[in-house]
Amino acid sequence: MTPAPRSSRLALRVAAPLVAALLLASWLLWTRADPARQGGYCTNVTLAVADLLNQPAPARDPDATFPELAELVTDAGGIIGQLATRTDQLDVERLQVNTPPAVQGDVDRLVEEDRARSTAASPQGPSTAAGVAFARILVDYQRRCLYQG
Amino acid sequence: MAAPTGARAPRAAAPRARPADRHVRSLSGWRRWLTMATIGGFAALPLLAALGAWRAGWQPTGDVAIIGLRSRDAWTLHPPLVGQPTTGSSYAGVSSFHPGPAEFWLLGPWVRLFGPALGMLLGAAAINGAALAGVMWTAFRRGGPVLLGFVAVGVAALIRSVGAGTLYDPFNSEIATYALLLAVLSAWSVAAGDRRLLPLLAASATLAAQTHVSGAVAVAPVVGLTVGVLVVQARAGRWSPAREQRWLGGAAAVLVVGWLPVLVRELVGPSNVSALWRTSRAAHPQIGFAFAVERLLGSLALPPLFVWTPPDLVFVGTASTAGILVAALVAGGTAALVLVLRAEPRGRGTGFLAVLVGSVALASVWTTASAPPFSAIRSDVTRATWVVSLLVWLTAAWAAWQLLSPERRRRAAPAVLPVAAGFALVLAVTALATTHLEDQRDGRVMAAVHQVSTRAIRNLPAGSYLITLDGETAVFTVGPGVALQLEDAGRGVLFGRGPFGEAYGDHRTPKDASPDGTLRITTAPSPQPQPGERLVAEAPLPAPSTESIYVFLKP
Repeated sequence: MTPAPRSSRLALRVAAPLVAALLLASWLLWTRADPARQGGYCTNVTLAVADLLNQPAPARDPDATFPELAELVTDAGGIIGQLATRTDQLDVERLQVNTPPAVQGDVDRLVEEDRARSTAASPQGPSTAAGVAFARILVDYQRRCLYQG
Repeated sequence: MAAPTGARAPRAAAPRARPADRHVRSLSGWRRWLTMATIGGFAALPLLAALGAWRAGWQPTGDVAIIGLRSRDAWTLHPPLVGQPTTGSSYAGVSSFHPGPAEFWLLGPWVRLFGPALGMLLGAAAINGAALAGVMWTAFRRGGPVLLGFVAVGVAALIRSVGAGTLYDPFNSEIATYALLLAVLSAWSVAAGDRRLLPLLAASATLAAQTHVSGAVAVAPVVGLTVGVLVVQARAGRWSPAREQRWLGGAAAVLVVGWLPVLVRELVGPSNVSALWRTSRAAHPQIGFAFAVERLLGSLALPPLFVWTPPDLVFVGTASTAGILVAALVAGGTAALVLVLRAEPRGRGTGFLAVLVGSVALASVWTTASAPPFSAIRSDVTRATWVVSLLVWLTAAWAAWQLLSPERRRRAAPAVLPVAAGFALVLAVTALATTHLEDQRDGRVMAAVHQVSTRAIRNLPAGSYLITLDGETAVFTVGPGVALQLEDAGRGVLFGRGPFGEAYGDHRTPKDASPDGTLRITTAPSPQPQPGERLVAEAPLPAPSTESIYVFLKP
């Protein structure tokens, strides 16, 4: 059998890893299109909270300082109370993946307010009721998903 | 003398001399001094960072203070035989610990000699200084001044990215960052024939594997692959174990000493290996592969993770679609470069580096994907991602360098180390200058912990005290710090056998304790003394907190 020409082997050495890496990237982009493809409830709430912490403080409270994610375990710095005021920055779609029945009502409330906000003519701040609902979700999340590291 | 009939002369019997530019002594003039200064500079950098932290008032708190207490146990009749407790204890229903106590034994003498704060800083700096010097020396032996230059710039950028605090932080999730890098580079060199580095590989792999289970998962394939290559090479006659007994013996000695406490624990029980295995099989929420792969690819994109500083403890969702595609091209392109290079005789060694880096990357993805969400999302327990980010780019740079024509390399080589050393110096100085105590874990409460500890020591007579921790901040941050300072001042400290008690060691959690008093440490707002208690120390926590740390004594 005639061996493959040197140029063909070289092309294969270049193309094979690139194609494999691009396939992996394509799978990743496919998962990013839908929160349900990225994981279950705990994963998605974690990502939603991390996203909140990565965002700048809301314009209505520019001087706000937010504690580290690590404090969610203990709520030592009152992180739950502070995050609960930022439901207008929350990606509520992530809370709708495999939502436990215990917090389904609270998630529904957040989704409802998010829809109302997106259709409102003028910008609306988060309501107290939404803040309370999100705080309950975070308390449940602490118990359900967090462990010491 | 002719070889006996039928015997194949081992190829390794003829010494494989490294090129002349890979011996420091063979360099002359400024090249020699620059090489030595680069290696020595990285060895000294952790010490500089540690002294800066000490002057700023660094104090052990939380997990680090527990590490300090266990370090005091090393070289005593209460020797630590396991590492810190693992995350899994909280969901697996079994107490498991990180694989080994190597860090405690290494820090022990420093803590005894210099006290908890300075001792832990100097001990951690010594570990990291040795690891960084080992990284630079290994790079020089493997690829001369050029590879030393590449590695120097990359590691300096890594230090600036993760912060100079990692150079002296004794936290077990951080302490193996540079040891993991050394394990990969020394494994690469050993497989390429530099078997004098076997003891270095054994030491770095031991430290990385013992301090955190994720480190153990990362170095296991590195060690396994290297041993496999050595066996194959020996069977092919490329080297003779009989002629390299010195280095094999050195590595064996390191492994015996390093793993003896672990072996003793397995013999006297309860088995930690069994507990770790059961923990790994226990059901628990996991962050998943999508997150882990995104983190890995995100670390390779432009700019790669090791040259920038992600926000606080969180780096997720920061890679754009274009960034993900670029990262894929970086990963695939690096592999392509190595495969192309493998077609040429001079490039075969780089292939094994790529295999090692790939194995660490896969291990990193697996450990991240299977971690509980909160653990996975913290950057300080996923330092392997930073190391992989650096190693992938280093592999690409080294492969690209090897693919240059000999003439181009000959012309460019003299400039690489001077330019790289200059960049590394700027990055290192920037890292030191931008590291502030208040930005680090518990940095803002360290002064209060020291203050309340000093007052408690002044007001407590000699004796042993049962410590109870009231409130989350007291349990996770303040309490261990106060306990360590009390013990260092000669007071005995005991703890209850609760879920966190096991971290302090059996002799501090006796079943039938008869202490001289009970200390209640709390950060509750305006706590009232319980019947029989009196306040012995108080210190306010820094603003914006309006709370204080209180220590109550019940004789």
